[in-house]
Amino acid sequence: MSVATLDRVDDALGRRVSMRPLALLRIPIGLIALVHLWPFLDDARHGVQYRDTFYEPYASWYPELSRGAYGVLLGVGAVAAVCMTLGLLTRLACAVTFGVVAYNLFLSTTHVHSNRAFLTIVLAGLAVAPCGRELSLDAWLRGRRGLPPLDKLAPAWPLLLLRFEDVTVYAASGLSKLLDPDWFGGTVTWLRVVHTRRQLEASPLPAWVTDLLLERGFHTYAAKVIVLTELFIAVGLCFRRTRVAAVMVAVCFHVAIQLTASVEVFSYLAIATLLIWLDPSPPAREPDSPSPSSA
Amino acid sequence: MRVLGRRLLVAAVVVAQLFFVARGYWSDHKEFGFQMFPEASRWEADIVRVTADGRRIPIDQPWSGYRWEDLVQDWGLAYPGVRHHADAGLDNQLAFLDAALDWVADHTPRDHETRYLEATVTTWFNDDEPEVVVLRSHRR
Repeated sequence: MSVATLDRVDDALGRRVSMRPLALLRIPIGLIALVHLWPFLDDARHGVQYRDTFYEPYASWYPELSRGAYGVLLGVGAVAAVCMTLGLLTRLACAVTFGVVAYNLFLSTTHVHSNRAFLTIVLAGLAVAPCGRELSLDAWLRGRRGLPPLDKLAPAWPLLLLRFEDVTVYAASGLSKLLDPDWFGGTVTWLRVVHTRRQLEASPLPAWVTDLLLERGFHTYAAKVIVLTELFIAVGLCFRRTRVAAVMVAVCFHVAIQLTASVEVFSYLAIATLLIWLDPSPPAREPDSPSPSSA
Repeated sequence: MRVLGRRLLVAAVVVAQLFFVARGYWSDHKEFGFQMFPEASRWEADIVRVTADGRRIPIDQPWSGYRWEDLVQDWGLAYPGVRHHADAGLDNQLAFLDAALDWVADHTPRDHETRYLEATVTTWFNDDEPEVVVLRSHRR
């Protein structure tokens, strides 16, 4: 890579941009983390933990807490997730939420699902970004104390990394289907529907819709639409001209997934994460606005 | 120094993520590979405990105060005799079942008669013909 290219990359990573997209993202992500942690916490409250049934640690050296400490840790994670949404002690709350979710994720291979992995990535991005300087109780309390607002601009690299991860999710998913003849040819989607024939026939869908969904030929085209939709979202998000269309398609895509499949928090997470594609360009300075502090 | 650190961190994340995406094509568990809804494959298994005297006892019968469905609950493994969809693909499902056999062998101390557990697994990879795989726990 040439020096000029590296300089351009450094400029992009270090460019100061508005953290508003990440401040907005922080609000739903805290709630989503809470929803994710809740079943673990609820089980722990009733004396049930992952170690009571089959689990498979990734490494023998990975630290496992005592039963009591594990329950407390989940409770701390849940409180931190709420603080994250409220923007209270935001930096600490984001770091703790990320730490608890990541620790719990890597306790066992059985804990890892794609939606949880993506949630961990998003939490990591928020933990390293100053996303509590606006739309937060921290900012409000600071104002009440008469202190100047903190600088709402920060280097772009956490935002750019999250964008890279978001694109990767769609691209990896779409590419794996594109390369799989059974997927691209419609066999997988057709069989998934056929395997749920009973539920489909008992659903309020009109008979002609049911018949169409059970028709193999229909899936020859439908599968290609699904794969190309994922790839369009991945590519479309990368370019300003197609970004709005990609976001709209992504929202429709995730609503459809939520209605037809069980994906834990994935749909909410994926839709919320689209907030990172808001324009982070610094707003024009208002002439009489107070000068921010970078403390 | 700050610029170098930032450059290294970003490069590490990008390289690691691309590695995990590639690893999804050969790994049983596709962590961070983001291969969603990969297959329409299904599986079912007859699991038995093989005792020291050679008896083969189905695990749907409780033993020594243990019940399989209490010991193994995630990833559709609680009732292996019922045909299940392999949510994250057959390789992933078989890896979990294999690990579960070992876990049960290790976590049933009141059971003094079982030597190992054995699963005869029938798999249907998408619309392919069924295949039979035999998995065994380690010997106790």
